[in-house]
Amino acid sequence: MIKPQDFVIVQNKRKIGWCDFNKKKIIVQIEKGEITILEDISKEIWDLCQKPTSLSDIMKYLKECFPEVKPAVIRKDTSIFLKDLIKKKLLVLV
Amino acid sequence: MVQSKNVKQKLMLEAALNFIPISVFFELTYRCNLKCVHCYVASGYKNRELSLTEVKSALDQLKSLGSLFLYFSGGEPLLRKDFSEIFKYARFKGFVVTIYTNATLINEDLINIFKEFGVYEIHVSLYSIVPKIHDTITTIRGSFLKTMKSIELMTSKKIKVVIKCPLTKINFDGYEKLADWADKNGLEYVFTPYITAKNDGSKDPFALRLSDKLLEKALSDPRIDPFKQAQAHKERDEFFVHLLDKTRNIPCFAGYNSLAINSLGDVYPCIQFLYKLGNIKKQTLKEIWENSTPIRKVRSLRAYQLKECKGCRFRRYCARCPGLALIEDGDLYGKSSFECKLAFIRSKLNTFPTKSPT
Repeated sequence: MIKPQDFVIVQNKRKIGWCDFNKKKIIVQIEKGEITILEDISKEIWDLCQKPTSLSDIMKYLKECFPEVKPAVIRKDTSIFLKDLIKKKLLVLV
Repeated sequence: MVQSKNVKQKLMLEAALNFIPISVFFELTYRCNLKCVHCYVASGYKNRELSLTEVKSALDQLKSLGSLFLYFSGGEPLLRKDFSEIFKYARFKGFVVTIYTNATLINEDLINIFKEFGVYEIHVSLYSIVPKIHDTITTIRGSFLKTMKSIELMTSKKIKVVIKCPLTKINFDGYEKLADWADKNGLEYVFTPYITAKNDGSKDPFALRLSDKLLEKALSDPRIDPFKQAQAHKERDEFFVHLLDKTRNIPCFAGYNSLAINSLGDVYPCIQFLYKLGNIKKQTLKEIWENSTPIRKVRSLRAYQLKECKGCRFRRYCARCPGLALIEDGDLYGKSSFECKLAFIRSKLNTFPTKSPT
């Protein structure tokens, strides 16, 4: 069930190229040639988005990874990160 | 999350240090519908090209090795009836695909596929803005019109086109007009004075190379590569310099961060460095890339082993290519005569070479 403040996203595979590289994820936005490098937790979030995934699902995963961090902080940081990837057309809203 | 202007160059250096073939040149066929006078492809390969299954297997293996930037070339790659399928498969695997083509076979259907699945760049061979000169080089009457029509079609659909123009005695006079036309139409272009030997060792194309006088004119033109590269290298940060320093003694990154596969399945460090590493019909790419005797030899090359080059006063102006040294001068550890000539001219002009960490 998707809540009103929630959204579902997925990798924009028609518009990107990608590879695994030294424990990093290299993503190229095809039209502009812009390269984005994701490491550690950002790479894990990216991998979660291989199939349509909601912000809530990602939050749930991150809360398990970082039980010491306040959920509000996780939500804020994650939203900023995801919106940036959406802006770069690396992720799309479903 | 990391993003910067030098990110690709850093990536290429990091790939070199970790032996990741991030950049792959894949000649899908040696067949061509044009017969360009300067072409490096020798005849006689027509019926032995890789099957679709073999190409797909190679792409799977490349992906496992960490490859990302894929350049499809030929001959004319669009002559393959299964080209669309190969392209879609490469995109499905996540490669960033660039296509080298004469563009004569590009049509709306293909453009729709490029748009739908995403193509990075289409590099089009265009030798002049004067139809007669272009057709003289391709030796096929009407080829100019077909190529131009395709360029217009692609640009109207917002597909990125890059004009590729080797400079020969035949087309040198008109290159400035071609550059003006490309500028006017917002197209990038690459002019190169490198006319290389054929891949069977024949030096026949050398007759088309620019004279020393024309080479000097070419290298003094800011629209020809060196200056652009120099500009790209201005913004170097500490990490970039650190990576450059670590790779200082490597004469070329071919075999470190790049490899090439021809339409027969032969594997080389670079399409211009014809030192055979193996064949994908007989070995896996992993075996060839990680353990073969030839790749170990390529990676054992060090700049200080190049005896003829070691004390050369023009060294800072030189972009010595081991492939050219091998195929044109016959010695992997020797000089490349053509590069020596270019270095001498650059020294007179005080300009620096095109070499970049790719």
